[in-house]
Amino acid sequence: MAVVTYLEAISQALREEMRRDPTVFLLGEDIGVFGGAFKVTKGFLEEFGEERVIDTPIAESGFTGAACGAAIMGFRPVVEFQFADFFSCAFDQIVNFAAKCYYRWGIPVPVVFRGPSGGGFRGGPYHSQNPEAWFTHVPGLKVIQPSTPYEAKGLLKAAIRDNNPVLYFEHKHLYRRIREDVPEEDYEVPIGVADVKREGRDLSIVTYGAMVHASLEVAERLSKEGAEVEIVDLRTLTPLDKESFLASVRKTGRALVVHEAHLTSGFGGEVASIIAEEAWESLDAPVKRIGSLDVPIPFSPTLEDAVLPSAAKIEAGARWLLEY
Amino acid sequence: MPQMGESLSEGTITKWLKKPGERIERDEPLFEITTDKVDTEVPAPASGILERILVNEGVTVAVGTTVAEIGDAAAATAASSPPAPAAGAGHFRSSHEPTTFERRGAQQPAAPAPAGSSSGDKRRQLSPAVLALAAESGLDIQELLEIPGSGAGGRISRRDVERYLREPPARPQAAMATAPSAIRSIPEGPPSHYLYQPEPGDKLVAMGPMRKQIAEHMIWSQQISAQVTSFTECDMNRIVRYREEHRTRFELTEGVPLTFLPFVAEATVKALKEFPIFNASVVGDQIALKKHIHLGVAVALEEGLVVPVVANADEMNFVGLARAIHRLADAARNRRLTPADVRGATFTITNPGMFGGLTGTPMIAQPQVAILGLGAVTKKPVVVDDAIAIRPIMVLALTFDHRIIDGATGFQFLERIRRYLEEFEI
Repeated sequence: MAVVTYLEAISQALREEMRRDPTVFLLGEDIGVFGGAFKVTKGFLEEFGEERVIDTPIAESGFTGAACGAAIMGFRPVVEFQFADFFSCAFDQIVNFAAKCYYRWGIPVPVVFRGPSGGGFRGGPYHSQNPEAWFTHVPGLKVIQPSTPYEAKGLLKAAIRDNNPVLYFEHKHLYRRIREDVPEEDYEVPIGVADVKREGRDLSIVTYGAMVHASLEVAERLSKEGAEVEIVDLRTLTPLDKESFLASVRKTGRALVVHEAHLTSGFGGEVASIIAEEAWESLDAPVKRIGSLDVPIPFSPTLEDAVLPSAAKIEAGARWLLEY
Repeated sequence: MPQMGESLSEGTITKWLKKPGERIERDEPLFEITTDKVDTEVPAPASGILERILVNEGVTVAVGTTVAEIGDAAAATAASSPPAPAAGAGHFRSSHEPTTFERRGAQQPAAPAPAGSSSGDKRRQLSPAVLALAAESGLDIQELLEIPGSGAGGRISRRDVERYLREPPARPQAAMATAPSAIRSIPEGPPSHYLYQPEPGDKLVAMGPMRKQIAEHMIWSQQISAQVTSFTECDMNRIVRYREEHRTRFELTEGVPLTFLPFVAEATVKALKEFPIFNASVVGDQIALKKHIHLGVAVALEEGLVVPVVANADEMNFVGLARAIHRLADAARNRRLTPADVRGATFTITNPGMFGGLTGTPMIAQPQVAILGLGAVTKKPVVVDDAIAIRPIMVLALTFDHRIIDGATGFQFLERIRRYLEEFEI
C-alpha cells in the first residue's frame, strides 16, 4: 500500500489497465507529449507508444466519434476531455451514438469518457462546471463520480472493464488535495453501489464528488453538538443505488441532498423525488437540496466562493433540518 | 505564491533574485519557483524596496501565502497574491462565516421561524413520520396534538413522539367503539344486548362507502342537533296551471325540463333571505350567519342519497335555478359529480314526495340547521272562500335545529315559503 493523491490513483488505474489489456488505449488533448493538462498521463507516451497514447486536435466531436468507432471494433478506448465542460462539444456522439448503439444494433460501445470537473480554483465559467445531470438523463450511459483516491482508482478500473459507455467525472480540485493509502494489487470498486462514509441517526446527507469532503467536515462539527449526521456517498449516479439512501432516510427521517452542480435540474432533484416518493412515511421534515447558485461559475474569487456550495452552507442546511 | 495552474495548490521557492534592501521595479523578476506543472520566474507586483523575505529558498508553501514584503522606505506594504482559501490535506475548503450573500440566497433553506410564531399552524403540521409512529402506537389525533413540540415553531417532531411514548404522562384511555368497522358511532357504544348477532341463513351484505358515510352522518346529526319538524299544506294550484301552460315551451327554449323543484327552490331562497337564521351554522356558542345561499338538492340514487349543491343560489333567477338543478341531478344520476359539487350546502331541499307519500320528518345535514322536505302533489278537497274546491296539495315539512330556532320562527319561515308558492308569479 502506498499513500497517493487522487490524481495519482487515476494515473495508476490507467497504467495498470493499459498494461493488463492491450485493447485499452487513450485519446485526448495534450495527453501524450505534454503528459496531460493535469499530468495524469505523464510518462505514458514513453511507456506505451504513440499508437496507444494519442494526442488529438481540439476536436471533441471528432475524437469522441473515433473512440466510439474503435470501441465497436473491439477496442476499449479511454477518452480524456481536458475539462468536463467540453463534453458538450461531443454531445451528439455521446448521447446519440455511444448511449444508443447497443440498444439499436446490439453492438456494445465499451468506452470511458473522463471529464475533469468542478470549480473552486478560479477557473471561470468554462473550466468549472459539473455537467453530470446532462448525462444521467440519457438511458444507455453510466455516470460515476468518485470522491476518494481508493475509489478513483477502483471505479476507473471498473469503468474500463465495463462494456457500457461510462462517463467518469474526476473532480479536479480533489486531484492533489486528497491523499490516502491505495492498494497496489488489482482491485475494483463496483459501479452502481453507494458507500456510507459516515454513520449517524439524526440526518442523512446524500452527496457525491467533492461535496463528500465538505459534508464530512460539517458532520464532525455537528457531532460536537450532539447531532450525528449520516453521509451517503453515491459514487455512481447511473445506475443509482437508491436503496442506500432510502435506508438511510428511513432511519433518520431527514434528508439533505448536496452536490456542487447547479441546483436547478441538478441530479439532487432526482434523488429528492425518489426520497419523497419511496420514503414518504419516514420523513419528519421536507427534503432539502444544496447546489451552486444558478449562474455561470464566476472568475472572481469572492463571487465564486459565494456561488459554490461550501461547508458553511451545508451546515446551515443541516441545522435547519435538525431544528425543524 | 501565485497559482500557476488550475489544479495547483502549492509551490516551492527555488531562488530569490533580489536581497532585502534592494530596489525592485514592478514586473521585474523577483523570485523563481517550481511547481508540479511548471518552473517559472515570478515578477514583482509593485515597485519599491524589498523589505523582507518571509519564505526561504527550498521551502514549499500553499498558493496565496505571502512570501515577501515590498515597501517604500517609510512603510512596509505586503506584496502578496490575492488570498485563496487555506488548503489542508483531506480538506476541501476551510469553513468561514456565512456571508450576507449566502444568508440571502434564495436557494438556501430559510432559517426556521422563531418559536411561538404561528404556533397553532405549526403544531398541526404532522409529518408522515409522526403520523406513522402515532398509528403504530395507537395514539389518536387529539392525544398527538397535546404532545409538546420541540421543532421549529413548536412543531411536533418524530423525536417528540418517541420521547412521549417512552415517558407518557397519565393518559386518559380513549374509548374504543364496539364495532371495528368504519362507522364511528357515539363513543362507548350501546350495551351489546341491543346489537344484533347474525344467524346462519342471514345474508350479510357489506355496506358500501356511501352507505357507511350516511349511517355515520345520521347518527351524529341526531346527536348534534335538537331536531323538530313543522308541517304545512301548500296549494300548488297556480304552479300546476303555470306548468301545464308553459312546460313544453320552457323545455324547448331553456333546454331543461320544468319540474316542481325550481319553483320550490326560488321560494325557499327568497324566504331564506328574509330569515337568515335558517341559512346558518352553530359554532360553539356562536351562530354563523352565512353570506351566500348554497342550496343542496337531494337526489336518490340506488346506493344512497346524494346531495349536490347549487352554489350561490342567492344570485340566480328562476331559469338559472332550473338549469343548475337539472345539471346537478343529471350528473348525480350519471355518477359524474365532483367533490366540489357536494360540498358547502347551507340549506337542503329533499323531495321524497316524488315517490309518493304524504310527508316525512327529514333529518338535517350537518353542519346546516334546517331542511325542507316535499311531499307528493295530490288533488284534495279543500275549503276556498267557504266552498269546497279540488286543489293540488303538497305537504311541506321543515325540520329545524331547536338550539337556535324556536317553534314560532320555524312556522313563520314555513308560512313564508307556502305563501310564495301559493302566490307564484313569474
